[in-house]
Amino acid sequence: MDKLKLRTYDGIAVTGFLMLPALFSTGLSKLAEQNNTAAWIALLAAFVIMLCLFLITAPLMKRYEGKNIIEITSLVMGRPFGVIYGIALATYFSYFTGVHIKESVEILKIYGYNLTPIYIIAGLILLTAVIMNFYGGHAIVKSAGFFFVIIIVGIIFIMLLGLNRYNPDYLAPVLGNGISDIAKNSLFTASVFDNVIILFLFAPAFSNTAKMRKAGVLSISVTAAAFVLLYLCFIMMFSPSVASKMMSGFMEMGKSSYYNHFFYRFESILLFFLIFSSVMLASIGLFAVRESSACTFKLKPSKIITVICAVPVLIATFIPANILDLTEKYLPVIRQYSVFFMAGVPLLVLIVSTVKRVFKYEKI
Amino acid sequence: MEIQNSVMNNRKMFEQAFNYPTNKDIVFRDFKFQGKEGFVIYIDGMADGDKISDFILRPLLNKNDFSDGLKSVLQISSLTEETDFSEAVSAVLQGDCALCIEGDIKAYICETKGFDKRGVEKPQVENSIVGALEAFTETLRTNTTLLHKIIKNPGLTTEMVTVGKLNNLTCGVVYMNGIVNKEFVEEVKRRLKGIDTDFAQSGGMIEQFIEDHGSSLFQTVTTTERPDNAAALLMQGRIAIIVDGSPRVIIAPITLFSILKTSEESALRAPFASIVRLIRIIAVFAAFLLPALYIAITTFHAEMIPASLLLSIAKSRINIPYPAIIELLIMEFSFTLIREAGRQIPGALGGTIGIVGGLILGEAAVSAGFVSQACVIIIAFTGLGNFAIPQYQSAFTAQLLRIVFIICAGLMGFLGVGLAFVILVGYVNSLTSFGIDYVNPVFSGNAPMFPKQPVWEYEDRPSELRTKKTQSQPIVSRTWKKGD
Amino acid sequence: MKKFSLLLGCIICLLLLSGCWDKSELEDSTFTVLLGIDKADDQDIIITVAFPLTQTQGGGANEGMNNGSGDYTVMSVKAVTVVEGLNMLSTKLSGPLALYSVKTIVISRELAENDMMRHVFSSWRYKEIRNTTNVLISECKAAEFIEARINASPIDPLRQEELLLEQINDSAYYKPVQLLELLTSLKSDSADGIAMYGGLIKESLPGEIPIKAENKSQVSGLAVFHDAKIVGVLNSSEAQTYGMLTQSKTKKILTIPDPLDPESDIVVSILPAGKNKINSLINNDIPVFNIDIKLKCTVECIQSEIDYTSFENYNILTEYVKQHCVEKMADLIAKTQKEYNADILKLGDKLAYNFRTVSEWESYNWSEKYKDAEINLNVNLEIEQTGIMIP
Repeated sequence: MDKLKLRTYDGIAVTGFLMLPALFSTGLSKLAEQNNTAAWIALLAAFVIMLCLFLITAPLMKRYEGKNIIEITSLVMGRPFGVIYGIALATYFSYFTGVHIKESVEILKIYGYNLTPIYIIAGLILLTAVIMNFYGGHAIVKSAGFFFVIIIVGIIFIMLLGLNRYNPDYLAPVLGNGISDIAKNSLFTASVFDNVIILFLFAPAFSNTAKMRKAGVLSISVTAAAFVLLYLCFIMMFSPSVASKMMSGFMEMGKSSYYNHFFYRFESILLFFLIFSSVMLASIGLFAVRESSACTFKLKPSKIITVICAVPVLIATFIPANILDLTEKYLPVIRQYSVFFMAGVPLLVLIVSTVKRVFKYEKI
Repeated sequence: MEIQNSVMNNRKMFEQAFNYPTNKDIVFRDFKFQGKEGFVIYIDGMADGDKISDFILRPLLNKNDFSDGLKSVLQISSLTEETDFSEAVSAVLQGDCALCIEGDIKAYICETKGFDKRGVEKPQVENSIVGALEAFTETLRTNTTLLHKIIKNPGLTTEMVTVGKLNNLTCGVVYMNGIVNKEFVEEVKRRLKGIDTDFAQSGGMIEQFIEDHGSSLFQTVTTTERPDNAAALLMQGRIAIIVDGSPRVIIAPITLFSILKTSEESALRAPFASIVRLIRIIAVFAAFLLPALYIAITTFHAEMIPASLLLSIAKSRINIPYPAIIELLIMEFSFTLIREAGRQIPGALGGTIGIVGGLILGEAAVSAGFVSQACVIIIAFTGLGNFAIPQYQSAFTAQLLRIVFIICAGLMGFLGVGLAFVILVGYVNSLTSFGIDYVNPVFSGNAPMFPKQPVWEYEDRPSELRTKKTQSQPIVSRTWKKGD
Repeated sequence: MKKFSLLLGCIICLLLLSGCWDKSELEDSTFTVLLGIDKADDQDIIITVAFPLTQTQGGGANEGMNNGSGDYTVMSVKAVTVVEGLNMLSTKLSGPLALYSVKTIVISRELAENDMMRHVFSSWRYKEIRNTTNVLISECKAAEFIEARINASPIDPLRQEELLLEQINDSAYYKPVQLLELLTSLKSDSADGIAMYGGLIKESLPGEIPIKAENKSQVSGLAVFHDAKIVGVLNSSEAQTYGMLTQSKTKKILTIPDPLDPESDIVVSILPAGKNKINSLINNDIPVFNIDIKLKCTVECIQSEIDYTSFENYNILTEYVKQHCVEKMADLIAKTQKEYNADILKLGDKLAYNFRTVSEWESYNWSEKYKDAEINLNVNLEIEQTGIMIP
C-alpha cells in the first residue's frame, strides 16, 4: 500500500465528512430541542471551544513530526497506554460509523424506502464502504474531495430554496433558555466538531504540521458556518416548537419549499446528498478504524484487515433496537459526550509530554 | 551469430534463415566486384527493385575505379555496416537489402524500402471542421514524417523498440527531448521491452499490454489518428508510441479528461470551446445516468414528476405489458443491435440502416404497444450522448456503465444510483496512468476542463507530467497588445 | 477477484429475484388531486378523494360523475381516522393511492369547529401528505365542495388546483395558505393562523361573491383560527384588508365613493410599497404596537370624470383613499381583537423581541393580552400611477 499523501483540501474534506452528516439527520432538531432559539449561539461558542482545544493540542504533533497520535501516546505514556488508546480509538470510530449508518438508514427509510428492510440498506452502505476501502486510502481521500463540493453545494441549495419562507421573528426571544443554559450546552455541543482530531491520526500524511493545522482550522470553520447558517434557516422556516419534532430538518426544509408549480418537488433529490454523505462517512470511518488498528498492532493494512474492521461497524449498526434508543441513548454519546474522549486524551498526552520535557524525563 | 568472411557461408546462413529456395519471396542477386564474389539479398515486393538496379547494381557493375571502397561506389541514400547476422536478417525483413562480399566480415545494409502503402488520407473518426485533415497511416516512417512536418524541432526524438518474438513488430517511441520527463520515456520503453509474446498483432494489443490496468473499464492510454492532436500532446510532455501497421498512435500518460478533449477546441475561440466542452460533459452524464434516473424516478420516486407529466407518462404506459426496467433494457439492446449492424455494413448503406432502424423500429414499437414514447425519447438522448464521446473505447465504457446503473436503479432507486456512483468515483480515483493520478480536478489546475481558457492563458504545462520545461509561454503572450 | 465477483453476482441475483420492496409502477398508482375531510354523525369522519382515471378502476368509474374535461372521479369512505380511511380507500382501487399529488385539503367547517387538531394535524406525522398542500375550510360539506369543484370545471382540475396555489388570477379575495404555515401558527403560542375559505355559491350570504357559473364551488374569504379551532370567518373584502395589512403582493381592487361627487365611484388598486415596520413595546404590561405601512395606489377608473390634475384635488383624493384604507384596517384589527381574540397579524412574534428568554415570554401569556393591546397604524399611501390617462 502506497503511503497516503494529503493536501490541505483533502484534510478539510475528510474531516468535513465526519462532522457534516449530523446536519442531514436528527442533529438540527436535537439542537432545537435543547437550546430553543439560541442554539446558534451555543454552536458559535462550541466552535470557539473546539478551535481552542485543537490549536492547544496541535503543537504536540509538531513536537513529534512524522508520527501519528497513537505512536506519540505510546512514546510519551508507554506502550500499554498507547495500545489501549489505539483500541479505544478504533472502538470509538466503529461505534461512530455504525450509529451514523443506522441513523442515515432510518432517515432513508422514512423519506424514500418505507418497506425495505433495514439490514438491506445498512448492508449495502457498509458494502460500498468496504469496496471503497479496497480501492485504497488515496481513492477515498480524492473521492471525499469530489463529494465535499457537492455536499456544500447541496447545503447552499437548501438554504436558498426556502428564501421565500423565512420569518426572522421565529428567532425571538434571542437568548433561548437563558445564558447559563447556553454555556452549559456549548461544551457538550463541541462534540459535534470533535472529529477534527482525526487529523492527528493522519498527521504523517501531511507534508508538514502547519498544513495539518490549517486543514483543521478551516474544516472546523466551514462546518461551524454550515451548522450555524443552516440552523438559522431551519428555525426561520419552522418555529422552534415545530422544528424540534422533526426527524430530519434538512429533508423537511426541502419538502416545504415552494416557488411555483414547476419548481417545488425537491425531497427526492435531497436523498442523493444524504446517500453521498452517509457513504463517505462510512468509508472514512472504516478507514480510520483500519488505520488505528493497523497502527496499534503494527499490521500492514490489507483487504483482510478491512473486512475484519467492518465487523465491529456492522455490530454497532445493529445495536440500537429502535429509533427511540437511537436518538435518546446512543446518539448523545457521539453528539454530546465524545469531546471528553477525543479532545481530552491528546490534551492529557500533551500535558504529560510537557511535564516530562520540563523535568527532562524525555527519552526519544 | 556474426557475418563471416566467406560469401558462400554467408549465403548458406541466409538461405537457411529464409528457407530458400522453398520460400519464393527471397531473391538472391549474385555479382562479381573487383574479382570478388558477392550477392545482394532482398525480399521481393518489400524492397524497391528499381532502386537496387539503379543505385546498387549499376554502379557496382559499371564503375572501374574502386579505390575508395564500396561506400563511394554505392549511390544509395542510406548505407550502414552490420556485423550481427540477426540484425542483417531483421533489416532485410524491414525491406532493406543486404550486400555481402567475399572477404568482408560485414554486411552492407542499403535503404531500399519500396513496399506498397496507403497514402495520407482524411481521418475516419476524428473529423474536424476547422482543423487539418491529414491522418496517420499504417507505415511508421510516414507517421513520423507527419509529426516532423508539424514539430520542426531537432528535439523530436524517435526511439525504436521491437515487440513480438516471432513477428518483430517495430514500435517507435516519440517524445520531445528537453520537455519530457525522461522517467516516463524509460518506463514506456521498459514496458514495451517487457512484452513477451509470439505475435504482437496491432496497436490495440500493445495498448493492453502496456496499460497500468489492462482490463479496467476506463482506458488509461489514449489513441489518436490525427497528427495535429498527437503533436499538441507531445508538446505538453507526453509520449507517442507509433506502432507499425496501426494507423492510430498511442499517447501516454493521460488523465480522464484527455478522453473528453479534442484538438479542434484549440482552433475555436475560448467561449465557443467552453460551450462545446460543457455540452460534452453533459452528454457523458446523459450517456450513462439518464436511463437510470428515469427508472429510479418513475418506479421509486414518482413524487418528483410534475403532476401533468405524471398523467401523460402513466397514460402512455397503460398498455405496456412489462415493467419499465424491462422495457428500457429491451430498447437499449435494440439500439445497440442497430448500431452494430450499421457499423458492419459498408458504405452509405450502413448509415441508412441506422436511421431506418431507429426511426421505423421505434415508431412501430410504440404503435404496437411494446414500448412507451417516453422510453424511446430517453434511449434516443442516451444514444446521442454516447456518440458525443470522442474516443471509441470510452463509448463502450459508457455503455457498460449504463447497464450497471440501470440495474442498480431498478433494484434500489436513487439509493442504488447513489451507491453505484460513489463506487464509480472511488474506482476512477484509484486508477493511475503510468504512475500519475488518472483524475485531475475539473475546475482548477493548469488547464481546467471547464471553462476553457483562451490560448494566451496557457502558461504552464500540465503539472502532473513533471516536465523539464514547465512554462510553455510567458504570462504576456500577446506582446503586440498593450496592457495584456 | 473471481470469487468476489461471483459472490457479488449471487447477491445481485438474490436481490433481483426476491423483489424490490418499494417499487411501484407509475401506471398502477392513483394520483389524488383533492382530499376532503368531513365530520360524520358520531366520532367518525368521512374522507373524500378526487382523482383522474388513467385506467378503469374496478368499479370506480361507475361511482362519482365524470366531468367533460378529462375523466375524474370522486370517492368517499367513512372511517375513524384519516390514515385509516385512506388505507380503506385503496381496497377499491387497483393500485396504491398516491398522495404526493394532492393539491388541496378541504376541511369542512363543522370539523374545524371541533376536532381539527385531533384528526387532521395529528396526521401530519404521516409522511405521504406534503407540507405544501393548500388548506381550505369549506362552508358546506367537503364532499359536496369537491364534487362541485371537479365537475364542470372550466380547465383541467389538476391544473386548476395548481394555479389556485399561485393565485395568478390576481385577486386578493383569498390567500393561499399551505399546511405547514397553518400548522406552525396553530402550534405557536405567539400567533394565530388563517386558512382559505370557500363553499358553494349561494345568493343569500353577504360577503360572498355572486358569480353565475356552472361550477358552483368558490374560494373567497379567510377562516380565522384560535387555539386550534375556527373562531370566525373574514369575508372577501376583509380578506382584502388583511392582504393590505400584511403586504401581500396581489392587487387589491377597491371601489370607493368619489370624494367630490358622492354619486359616483372611483376604482383604485392597492399594492405594497415596501416592508412593514412594526415597533413593539410594553407599557405597564400592555403591549403597544406602532405599525408603519407603505402602500402605493393606482387609479383605475374615475366615473365622475372630475379633473384631479390640480394639486389640490390630487391631495384630496390621496387623503381620501388613505383614510378609507385606514378605516378598513382599523375595523379589521378591532374585529380580530374583540370578537375573535386571534392574532392573525402575527404581532406576538414581534413582541417576543422584548423578552430575553423563552420562559419569560411564555410566562407573559400573550394570548390573553392580545385583546387589550394598543395598535397604532401609520399608513403612508401614494398614488403612483393613473392608468393610461392623466387623472
